[in-house]
Amino acid sequence: MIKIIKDAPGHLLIEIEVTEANLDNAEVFKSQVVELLDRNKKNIVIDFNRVEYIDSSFLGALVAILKHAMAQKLEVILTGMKRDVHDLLLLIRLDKVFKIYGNYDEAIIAL
Amino acid sequence: MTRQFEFTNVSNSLTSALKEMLEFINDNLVENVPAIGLLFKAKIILTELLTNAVKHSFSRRTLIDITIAGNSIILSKTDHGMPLSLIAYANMAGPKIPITNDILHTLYAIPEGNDTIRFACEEATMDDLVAVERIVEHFGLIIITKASDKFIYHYCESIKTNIFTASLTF
Repeated sequence: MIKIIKDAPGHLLIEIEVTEANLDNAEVFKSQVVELLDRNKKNIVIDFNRVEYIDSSFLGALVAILKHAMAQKLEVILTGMKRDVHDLLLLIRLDKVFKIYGNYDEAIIAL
Repeated sequence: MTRQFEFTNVSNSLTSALKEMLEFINDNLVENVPAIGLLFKAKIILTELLTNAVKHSFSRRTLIDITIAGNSIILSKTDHGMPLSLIAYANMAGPKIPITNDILHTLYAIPEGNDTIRFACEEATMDDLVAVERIVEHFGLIIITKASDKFIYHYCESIKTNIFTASLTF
């Protein structure tokens, strides 16, 4: 479901390995990222470059992860979103609560 | 032009069903309409209607009707099962009823009579960013309401049928 790309001081870069981020994998995604937050106590950068489509179940999982991270004073940063995925987050205003960057290089400047 | 699609309420057929529906829309849109924007909206609405069918339907199949006529696309989901509890407000003459509320949106049900409610969404002023923990984790109705020009729910008691209808105009 997710792959750790980089374990850097202060943050982890992870990649979502599925193209369809939906009802079928939202709960697994949430539990895996929450476990990473609890175990590593580091900010998380999530790379969406493989994700072609996302649904409300997965967006709910993302928000649950953000709440979990914020309770631990950690950040969740989203990168590499395709246009449709990004447009859906804009529609429901999740850009107001997530930090979203085009790619990892832009994201680490903000960390 | 109308076509009815039968969906079997299982998640592993969702992607292929969605693809078939979007191809129908794309093939039947007249020229000179903003196809990319309409297809994006149709895609996210249909995704949520189908996802809702997988998660909440108590029947073995859901019917999706897609009508393209004049300057509108009408996406309709029909299933047989228990009505939404909100239907209790449908025939009341009164104000809009808040369904969910957080720092991003308030989602309302507006009684329309005739066992019908219309959904409406207002964006919040974002003056309380610390309240992220209050953000709802259920976005399906919000997505459909915001993506469509009109989104209504009707329950037909006589045949125990739920009908959700989202309209896009262009």
